Amino acid sequence: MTLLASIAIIVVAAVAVAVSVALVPSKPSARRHRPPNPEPARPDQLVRLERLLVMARVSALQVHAYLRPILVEIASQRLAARGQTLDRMPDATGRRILGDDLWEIVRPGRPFPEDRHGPGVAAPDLGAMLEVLERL
Amino acid sequence: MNGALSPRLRGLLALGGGGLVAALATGHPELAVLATPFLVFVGVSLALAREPQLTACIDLDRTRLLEGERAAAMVTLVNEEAHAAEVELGLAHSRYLTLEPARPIVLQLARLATVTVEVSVCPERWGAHSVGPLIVHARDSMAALTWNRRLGERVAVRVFPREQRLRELVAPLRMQPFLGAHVGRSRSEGIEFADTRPFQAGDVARQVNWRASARRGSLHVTERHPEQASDVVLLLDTFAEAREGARGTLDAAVRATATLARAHLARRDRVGLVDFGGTLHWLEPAFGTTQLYRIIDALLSSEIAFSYAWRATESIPRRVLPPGALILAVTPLLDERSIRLVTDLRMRGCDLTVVEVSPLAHTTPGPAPADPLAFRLWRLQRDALRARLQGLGIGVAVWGDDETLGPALEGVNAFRRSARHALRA
Amino acid sequence: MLGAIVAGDAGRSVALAWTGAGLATLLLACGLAASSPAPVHCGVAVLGAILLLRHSDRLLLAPLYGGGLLLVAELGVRSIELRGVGLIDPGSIGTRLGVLVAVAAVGVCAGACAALAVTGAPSRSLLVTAAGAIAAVAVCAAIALAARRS
Repeated sequence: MTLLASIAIIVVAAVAVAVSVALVPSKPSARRHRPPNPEPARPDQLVRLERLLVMARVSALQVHAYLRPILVEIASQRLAARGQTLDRMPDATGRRILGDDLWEIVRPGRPFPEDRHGPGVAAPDLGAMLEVLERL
Repeated sequence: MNGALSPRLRGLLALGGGGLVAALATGHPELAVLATPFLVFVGVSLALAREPQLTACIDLDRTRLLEGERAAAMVTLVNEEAHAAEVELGLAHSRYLTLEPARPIVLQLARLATVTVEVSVCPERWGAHSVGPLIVHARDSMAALTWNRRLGERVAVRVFPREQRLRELVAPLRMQPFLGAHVGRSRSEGIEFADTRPFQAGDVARQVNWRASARRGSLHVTERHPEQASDVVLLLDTFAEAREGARGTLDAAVRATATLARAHLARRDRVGLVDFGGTLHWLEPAFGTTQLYRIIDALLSSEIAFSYAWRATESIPRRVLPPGALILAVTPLLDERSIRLVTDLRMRGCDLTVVEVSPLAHTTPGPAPADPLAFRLWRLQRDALRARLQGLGIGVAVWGDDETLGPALEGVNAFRRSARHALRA
Repeated sequence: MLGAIVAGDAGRSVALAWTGAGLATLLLACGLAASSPAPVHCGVAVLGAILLLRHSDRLLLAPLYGGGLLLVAELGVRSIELRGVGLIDPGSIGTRLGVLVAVAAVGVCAGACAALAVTGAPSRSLLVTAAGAIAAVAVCAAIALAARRS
């Protein structure tokens, strides 16, 4: 009995001491931190193009509706610098200068794709088209 | 007392209390004796803690700097109490200022003592910055409690953009009937020789060219080109920027605008400013050093303000765009509204040149596999845009921040010379 | 050093004493590395516990040993506080150290008085245990209340 009572007293004392310690408020003092660097700002134009290329890989509709106008504008400007116009370019000349893949997309009068959900343009093919445009 | 308790006091009290309980549980009184110094320490710390009374002031030796220059901030701290205190000092500052030492300073302030600390202030870029107030964490001598204070006043620091020297500026197509530094095309009073012609009624005697008169046997007078000024309006695009880290296109654009303003005002042109972006600000064209300070002050508060508002030429008051003014649009050509504005101004017949602040140096391709292709496509798209603007008769000077502006402006002048007839039409 | 004091008279528990000292050192190092006072205090608790492994003169050494533990705890936490600081006035280090040593000395004296009181105390009984428990709770509660009022 005495032992049990001693144990009980010690346990109660331990709990009371623990509660006392927990009651002590503790707040570390805040130290001034250097203001963080500003968030990098990426141009919206580039972000939109990155999203477009992701979609254009898998959707013929995205290629025709969004990627094609951009490629047409670039090709027209670069051909105009050489004194050529894209609108009146014969098919054979277009294929020779721009390559089959690029000409197939930018040629005047390209029809709307019958299968809107058909495959788009693969990344390697697009890379080759950009190389052609960069060389012009 | 209303300071914040140090977190270690709880730990010390736990050690002391734990020692006492362990002594009871194990029957070893040595543990209670071990715990006694901890309990005494905590009790004495709390009993002796006194709130310090501190005052501070911040003085800067210079409040106007150029980019890259340094200022010295003298921080004076006074302990008005009869108790010593330990203080940890930090100086609040705006984002683009670097302090040395950058980390907090720990000092012991004796009773009724005054301490002065020097902190070096170095701006990373132009702008209206501030230093202060002082952030003080004051502790009593046993560091039981900490009092947090903000002392002193905020001190404004104006950092002016680093400017370049320009030998050649964009030559305006039309002059204004004010005295200036440009040689006009008309014939009037001036210094530059234009031509000789026969004497007419109304000509003054000092205009007579005696040598030509002697050679031709009749009176001839000298005609000269007048020195005229032009109106220049600087259009700063603050719709969007490309930024990586502490540098972005807006920083370069402001430096270019300040450089162009100073150079044109030095040639006695009338210069105005339009900050065209989410918020629209303008300064009507005027001459002189006062106008330069107004323009620089306006530039210091330039920032990108995100906005969906559609801004067009109609948003700009007519008096800010005088007829015949040369408009220099400093823009990264990232926002459709800016591109539409320059096109619209050109279609209205304005004499317009674009200084394109290249965003390529502040942009990197994304991490996805297709992102390098998007980056190449973007570069091609920008080339096409530039060609389209040049097709409209808008000279485009492509400029990167690490280059000098002079060569880009020389290229534009060559374009304007070759397209002069189309531009005048 | 405190571990050596214990291990010097630990008899068959020398290995345990050195293990405890090593563990305490490790905890102190972790606390300094993580900039947290909790592992430092745990290390001090371990150092305090291994005093029981010493065979003789435990009560005699306990006040000084307790003072030493207090210095270890406070110096460890002080190192953590001064981390990340750019400039330190040498006066602040000296003053704080002086105050710490002075108060630790007062604590050692109080510990010595407690040791004397324990030496003359009656043998363990329920009454003594209860009195000790009440005293422990009273001291801790008083300090906690004083802390909350501040």
